[in-house]
Amino acid sequence: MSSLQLELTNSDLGPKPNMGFVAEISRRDESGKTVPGELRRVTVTTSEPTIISQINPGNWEVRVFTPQGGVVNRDVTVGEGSQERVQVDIASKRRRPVSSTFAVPRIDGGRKTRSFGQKAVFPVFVPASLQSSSVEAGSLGMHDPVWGDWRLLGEWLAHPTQPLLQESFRVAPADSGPDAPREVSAPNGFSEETRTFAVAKSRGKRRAHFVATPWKNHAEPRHALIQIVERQGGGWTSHVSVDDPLYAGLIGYLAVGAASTAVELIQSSQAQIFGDYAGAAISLDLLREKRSSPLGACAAAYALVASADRADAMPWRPWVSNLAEWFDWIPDGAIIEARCRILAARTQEDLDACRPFVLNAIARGVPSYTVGIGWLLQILVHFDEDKFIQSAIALIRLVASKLDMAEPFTTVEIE
Amino acid sequence: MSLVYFCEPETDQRVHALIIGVSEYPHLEGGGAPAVADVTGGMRQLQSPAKSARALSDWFIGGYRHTHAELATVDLLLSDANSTEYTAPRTPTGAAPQARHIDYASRQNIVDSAIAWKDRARADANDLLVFYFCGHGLSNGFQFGLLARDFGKVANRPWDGGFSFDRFLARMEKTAAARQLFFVDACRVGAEQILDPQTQPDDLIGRSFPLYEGRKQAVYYSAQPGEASYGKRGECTLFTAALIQALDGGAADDSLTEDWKTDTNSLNRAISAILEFGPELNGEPPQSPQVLLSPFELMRYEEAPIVPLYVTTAWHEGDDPPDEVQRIEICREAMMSHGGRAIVDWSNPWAAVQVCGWHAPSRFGSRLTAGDRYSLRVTFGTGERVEMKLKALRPPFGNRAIEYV
Repeated sequence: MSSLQLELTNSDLGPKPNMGFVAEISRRDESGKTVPGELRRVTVTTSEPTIISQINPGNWEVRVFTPQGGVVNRDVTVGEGSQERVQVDIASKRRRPVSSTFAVPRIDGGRKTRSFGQKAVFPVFVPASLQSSSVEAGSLGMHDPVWGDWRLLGEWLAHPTQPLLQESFRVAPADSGPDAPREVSAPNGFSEETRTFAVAKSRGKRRAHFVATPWKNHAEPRHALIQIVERQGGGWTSHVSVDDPLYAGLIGYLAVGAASTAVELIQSSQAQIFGDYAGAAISLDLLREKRSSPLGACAAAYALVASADRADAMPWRPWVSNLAEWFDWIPDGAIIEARCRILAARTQEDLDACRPFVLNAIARGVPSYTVGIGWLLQILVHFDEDKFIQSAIALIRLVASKLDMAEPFTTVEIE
Repeated sequence: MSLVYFCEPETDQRVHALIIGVSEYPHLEGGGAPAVADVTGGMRQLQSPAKSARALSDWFIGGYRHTHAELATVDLLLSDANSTEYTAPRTPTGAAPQARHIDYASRQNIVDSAIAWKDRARADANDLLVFYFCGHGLSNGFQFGLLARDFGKVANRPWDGGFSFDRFLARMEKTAAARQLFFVDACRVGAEQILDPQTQPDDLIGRSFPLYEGRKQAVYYSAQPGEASYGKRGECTLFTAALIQALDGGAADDSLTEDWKTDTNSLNRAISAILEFGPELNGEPPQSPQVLLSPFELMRYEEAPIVPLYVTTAWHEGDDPPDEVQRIEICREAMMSHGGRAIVDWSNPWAAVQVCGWHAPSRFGSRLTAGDRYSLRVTFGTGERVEMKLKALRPPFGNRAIEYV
């Protein structure tokens, strides 16, 4: 038997974190068709080579699927007993809209923020040219039982000079050199139940982010990181990402709407995410023990529901309900649950029975993921004769009108 | 009249297409009628949408193939300053096609056609509904408004001449068609002053009765939120040209099945790949499509499709042409040195090159049978010949199977 060593390079990776991609390897016969039973889907990360062992010698095709919907192909001939090395550059022909002027921390084995992950801090990277920008972090404070934090955010968008954040966390100045990160720390540590938001301000512009921290991973706790970067041709922007190769890939696919590719990523990596998630019981155990990431599970649920074939069994369906039930501080679970119920409705009575779930989805507040706001608005279309829902639509659209649609985590921008 | 093709095939899967192309906007700048600046936001007449809609209609009527499905209807609505007529490439009966008058793509005509179109889908079948719109679009957050011909006719109510694609999509989820395919070839630039959060444009089809369980939808946007969409003057838009090329075999795949087939994922990948080879704006592709899709099959072919093969080179427009290349030949199966016969022969390939913005690869373009194996021979001015080994042609572009650098 032979093996393949698959290495991803990205000549325009820029400040993006370590990411996971879906790759497909298949042995081709002389006519170029896949030899039955000799196709595998694997997860490949940008951090380290992936070894695919126990393959037959012959002509293999490697296809790496990018979040933008592209495919990068490589052909390789594998000899008997050998290990062939295949390098794939996943850089898009499209140039990145942003550039980073600071040194990107070295990605080493997917542990870029290891030093931060163990402490109650998360880093904010600010380039030297934007050192005058300010960053605040904190929670949104009191939660309205009907409107969640929608009204609070809506009012801030109308009056952005007023403070948005309550219980502000400490943002320490960079302690070594202009490119060193600023550290955000919470007096009592970060907790999942108190959702963290950050506001970056510079040159008259404000960007408010949901910060996915602490980012739970069943291997070790990790944190999100914030990067402020200069745009080509002036201006600046900011990104929130998570230091978790697997979920960073999943979230990347989700952000561009490639839900079915995201599902391929889940399926190829299911042991790493949920164990055998197709066996719902295992997933439930993982969630119950909170060993896996509920925020990551929401990303997976968005992808699964978006690309589900409702004619087939959906073994993960009860698990989606549990996302809404167990993690009531995460609004996304309630949105996904409401959407599943509306999709399943076959009669007007079924649809009417969804109404409490829709109201609950609103009351949970602003979702963690941008896609959640789109889903919520789609849900509300079915109830738009209701006065309360009409006012909710107007408010949520107001927030949506300020969204940075390219960001996977909810981000609003005002100038 | 909007129905340009109609039959009732005896098949489990019928395909119904609604195709809309709006080039002429009488109430936008240059449209003849007075334009209200606050409403029009600088939007002008367009060149490509009507042509793109005609081309896609031609393709569906003349090119759609599936071993288990058949095209049943095509509705076409146009707003085209050049012509109000359309001649289909064929008729269901085989009779000679006749030119026929096409209704304007006004909002009311779009509403009427959309309701008729979605009602044609049978609940107990695996019918496919295809929706295509090409024209002006405006977005604000998740709101995405599409402009019909009569946008701006009533200055205080401009959206009486437009509709909400995002709300239309949500409504369609509860309709009868099992599979729904949407293509929106329009700008997605923000225009808060025209499409504010309080504005609620028409959803085209209203509430559905009865309700159906959620359907499989695949949505292809020509651009990412905030991006514009482009077309070359007098030609199809970039996105629609790529879409037709992808539908016309460019997205076909047989790597996992006995038959060649196109599904929603392979279509997405093919469109992206084709656009990557297209023109550039400031050194990069001018637009990136966005998809939101459920995976499902679109086409299955009785035989291998004919697909593009491009010989890629390192030379690009603006550099010195590689004069030393005298000839490029392609032959099927055996190499020429082993008695193979050239089926494509580009002698003096650079002689006909004209200056334009397209990448060089399309210079060496041909259409050949997918799945077959081809070899390539390049002859240089020195008389040296280089043969490249046999490779199977796999769409799109044969997976770059044959590279010449």
